[in-house]
Amino acid sequence: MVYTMGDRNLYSKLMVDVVIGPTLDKLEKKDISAAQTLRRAITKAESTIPGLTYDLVRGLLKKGEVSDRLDMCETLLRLGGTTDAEELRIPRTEPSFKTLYKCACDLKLILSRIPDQIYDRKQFLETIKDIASSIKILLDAVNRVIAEMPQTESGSRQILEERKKEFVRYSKKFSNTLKEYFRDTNQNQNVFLSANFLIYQTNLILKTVKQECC
Amino acid sequence: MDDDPRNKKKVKEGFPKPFFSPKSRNDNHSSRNSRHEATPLAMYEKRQRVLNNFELQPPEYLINSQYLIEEHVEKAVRYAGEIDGVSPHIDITNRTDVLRIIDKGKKQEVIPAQVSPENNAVLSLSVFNIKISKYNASEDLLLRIPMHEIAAICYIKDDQQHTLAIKFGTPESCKLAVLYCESKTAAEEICALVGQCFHLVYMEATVDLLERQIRPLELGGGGSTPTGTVSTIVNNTRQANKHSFETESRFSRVPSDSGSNRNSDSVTGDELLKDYMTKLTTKLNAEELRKFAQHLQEDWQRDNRFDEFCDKVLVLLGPDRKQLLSEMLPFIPVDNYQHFEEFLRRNDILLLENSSTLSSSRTNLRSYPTRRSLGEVSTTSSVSNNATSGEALDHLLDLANAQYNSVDVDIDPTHDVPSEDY
Repeated sequence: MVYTMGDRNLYSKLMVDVVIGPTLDKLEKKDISAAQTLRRAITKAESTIPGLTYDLVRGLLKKGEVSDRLDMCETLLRLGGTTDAEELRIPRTEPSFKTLYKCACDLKLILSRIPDQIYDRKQFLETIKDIASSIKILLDAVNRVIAEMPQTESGSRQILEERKKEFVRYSKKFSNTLKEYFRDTNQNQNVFLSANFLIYQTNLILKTVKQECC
Repeated sequence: MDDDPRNKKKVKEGFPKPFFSPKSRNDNHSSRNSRHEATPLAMYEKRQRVLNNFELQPPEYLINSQYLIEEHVEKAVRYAGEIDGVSPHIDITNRTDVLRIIDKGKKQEVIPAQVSPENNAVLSLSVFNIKISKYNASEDLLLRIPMHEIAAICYIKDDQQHTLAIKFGTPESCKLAVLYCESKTAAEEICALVGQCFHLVYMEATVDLLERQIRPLELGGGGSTPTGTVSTIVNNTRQANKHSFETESRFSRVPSDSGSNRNSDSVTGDELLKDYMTKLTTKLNAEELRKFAQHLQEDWQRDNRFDEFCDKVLVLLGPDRKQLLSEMLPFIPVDNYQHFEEFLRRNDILLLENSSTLSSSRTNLRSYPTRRSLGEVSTTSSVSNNATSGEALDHLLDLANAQYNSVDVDIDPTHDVPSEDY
């Protein structure tokens, strides 16, 4: 599998979501100011030097001499579905927003099961069906939120529409990756990577809704 | 079974050498696409039809998928028959259970205790089915099992017999087809090939399911996804295809001077309409879409009050979205065209050629002649053809209704996706 800068940046962003985020959530309960300062600093640093968080975590793993024993792509995928970060939570209480949040979490959870199920063909086929269903339900939920968003000059609806388009694009890529995998089952790493991209796109939808609607 | 050494001998002799005459092809990892005709082995074989066989390499016996999809693979076997009343819950990886069923079938004379050259058969395999025919001149069909009815296939070596058992049927009751192969290799090869068919059929079906969820959104250029169940999506897709087909035939039935350009223009016009309607679904909510369709149907089509239609749609869109009206310009029938142009100018709506809000991945509006309406696009010889203008309006209305219906279907989140049979 070819490792690219794009993958590194993806890993880094996912690490912020699934490793750093939940840690800062814990800190926030003890020292909200420190947690927020750190959160802002990491976000800023990551946008200035994409991949910084990955380098940091990778460095720690190397120092601890465990980096060779850890498949980063697979590990992030496993964490992607099980970790709940405050930054991704939508505080709106209306049914459409609650549904959207739940659908996003459900999809991520199913995607995160892939490393355990990919080697059991029958189970994996069931998982793909679950993913297909979850993708559709999530997109329906996004559409409901878009329909309820007021037309504003800031173009919130358009921004979310764009996020949705990107999500559809990565869903298609995921589907193509599965086809490749079925032709050559050695390509499981590509499936993990593609699923990670889909999780990241799901997170982006949540962040966009939070930013534009909360 | 067959503990009697005499039977062993009979079984062994039951596969005369040569048992079959394959049209053999190499299809291994290193030369998966190379196909070589083998020279017939003996005079005996020349009287038999040459089987469509491949030389595959153990242990996986991988074959180029296209041979299973486009063609079929044939293997020589001996077919004993099928045994009814097999429990769907029987696990045929359990050797003892399978042998018990076979022994019982022999005792009840459902299948013969011994097979002979009379039982020589051709097993034909493709992703669609397993077909077993007599290996004689007329190749009488003995059994056909669609791939989706096959639950499992197993190979059992019992003394010197290489038995293949295929469990198939509906969930209520299953059957067991019993066959014998010449060797362990031949039996394993058939099992491996059936496995590859399963792989092709079920993997493809599952990924197709995933793509069906995504495709409507791709076609809609990222527009609002139709809500509803999977079956709704499939139906909607079919409906969209139907529209497309009807539109093409509708537009192309009018004689045209520019023959070769006609079809491409018609298709582009159709795509243009669809793109526009898809765009509307992203800008209008369900209620607004309903009103849009209502104005189209009642004010314009039924009452022929185009002015009123324009005014009402302008109110519906409001100042922020009124520019959308200019994008309707190519669809306006020629008899309303001038009026519509004036209406746009009067309301400070930029004309199409000056608009910067247009976006479409499939159409190039700027390539349209500036003052060409859909009526002209669809027929160069009948610009004043009212019927054609009416058809354009009909089509616009169809699309508006289709778009509205597609977003108005209630969603049932508990509804499961259809499952494949295993």
